Amino acid sequence: MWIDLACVAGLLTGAGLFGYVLGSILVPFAVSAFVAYLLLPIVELLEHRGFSRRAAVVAIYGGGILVLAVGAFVLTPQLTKQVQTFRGKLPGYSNLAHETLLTAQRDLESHFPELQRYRIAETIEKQVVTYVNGSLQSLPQLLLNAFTLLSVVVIVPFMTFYLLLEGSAIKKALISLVPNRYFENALNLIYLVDVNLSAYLLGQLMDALIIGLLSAVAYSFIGVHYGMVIGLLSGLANLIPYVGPVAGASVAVLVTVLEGGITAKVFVILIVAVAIQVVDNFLVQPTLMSESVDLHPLAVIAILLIAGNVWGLWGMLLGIPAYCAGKIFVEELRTVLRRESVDAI
Amino acid sequence: MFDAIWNNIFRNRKKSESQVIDFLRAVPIFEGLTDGELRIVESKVYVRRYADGERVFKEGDPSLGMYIIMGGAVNIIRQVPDGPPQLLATLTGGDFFGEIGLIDDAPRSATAVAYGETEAIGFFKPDFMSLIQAKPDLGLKVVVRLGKTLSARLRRTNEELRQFHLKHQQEARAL
Repeated sequence: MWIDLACVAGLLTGAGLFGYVLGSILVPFAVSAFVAYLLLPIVELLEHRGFSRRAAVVAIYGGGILVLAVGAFVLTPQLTKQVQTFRGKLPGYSNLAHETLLTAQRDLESHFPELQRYRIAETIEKQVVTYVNGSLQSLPQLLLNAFTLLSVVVIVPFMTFYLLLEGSAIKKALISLVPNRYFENALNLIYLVDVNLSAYLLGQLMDALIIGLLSAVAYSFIGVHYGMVIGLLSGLANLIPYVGPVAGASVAVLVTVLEGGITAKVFVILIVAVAIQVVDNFLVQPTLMSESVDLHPLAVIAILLIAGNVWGLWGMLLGIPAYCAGKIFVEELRTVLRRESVDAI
Repeated sequence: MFDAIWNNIFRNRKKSESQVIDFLRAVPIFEGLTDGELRIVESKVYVRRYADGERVFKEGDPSLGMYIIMGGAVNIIRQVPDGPPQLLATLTGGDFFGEIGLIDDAPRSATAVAYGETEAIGFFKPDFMSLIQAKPDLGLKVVVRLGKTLSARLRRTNEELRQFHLKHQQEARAL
């Protein structure tokens, strides 16, 4: 038993090292597997309705292309208009920020004349500009490291198509490699991980969609500029648990303050953000996530912080699913070891 | 562990798809299925090879599914309290066992050990559930036939119990 455990530990360590060293090359494969995993329930639903596997996969791709085309046709003009308006107003926001800083500096210096030599407004502006320039310079490289354009456009859809078509056969071939002694345990483990993970991922996706829609409607209703863009941002940000409403509110507050200073609308935005977070925590998540792995909110935040620190954005997106899979694996391993030790006695 | 990997992957003893389907056709649970339906079932099963004395599953393990013996034999053994393990049956090619594991979550009621080099087809609950979900008509056929098989075994067990009870009564009267 200990030799087998050592082999498992060795295999996992090897897989971890392999992933760490070749991480950037494996990203398209991991993303394809992730997307295929998300689309699999839809394929199975179509199979249930009488489609063959191939027809179901082709139908999904056709539907996806149609949705993208319609979305681009309907949403792009609106989004482009809002982004262009924002870009047009950016110099104005910049001047407003500059004036606000100068006014604040004069107020402070009238009370504390010794602060004149520090030129607070100029120092703050320099720091902000340096930071923004640095971020903008590293952004293209950041995007390139995470993903190449070729991967996004060609490799991921191509691999996802074949994973959806042949995924079951590939999974079966891999499981067949497990020795007889642990075969049933491995099968049971994969089944448990599959059930819990698919429920969690689909629930998270639906949650992101609902929060995005809610945010877009709510912020547009209360008259926040670029409400649709903020809604889209909230939805995407909510793929990371708890982040969506906070991200949306932050941008909405920033935009409103830049437009007209701190007014009553800012407080309305905060109330709306709290309301969306409450709806998410007490209605949406319990409904969607009732069958997924149960995690304490503190555990979620801890996992997000650790995974985000080690693997950045991908870590925050995949940290919770990876933890859930790992938790099930450890629990099953404990059960097997307990059974083996009882037999030994 | 490495022997099992060698036997299952690298040796060229893998049965072709049609041979697996032929075996499945002969199993009462898959009786009457069309060739297309048997091909779907074949895509869900695993062909496993066991060395002499290698355990297929152990009494008390979670039940995950059934096995159909293609070649070789399997001893079904039950642990008796304060006694040696009891050999309940020796199953050979064409026989199947563990089918209750497809529908309930109770632990295995006996241990199955390969007797000689054995090859068996495994059909497991997760794949059975996904089959029912993806192909409900086919799933229903298999469920009905599984029910018939289990009820036939139950009737046989009831009859054997009745015969045993009668014999016991006759012996008691004779005394």
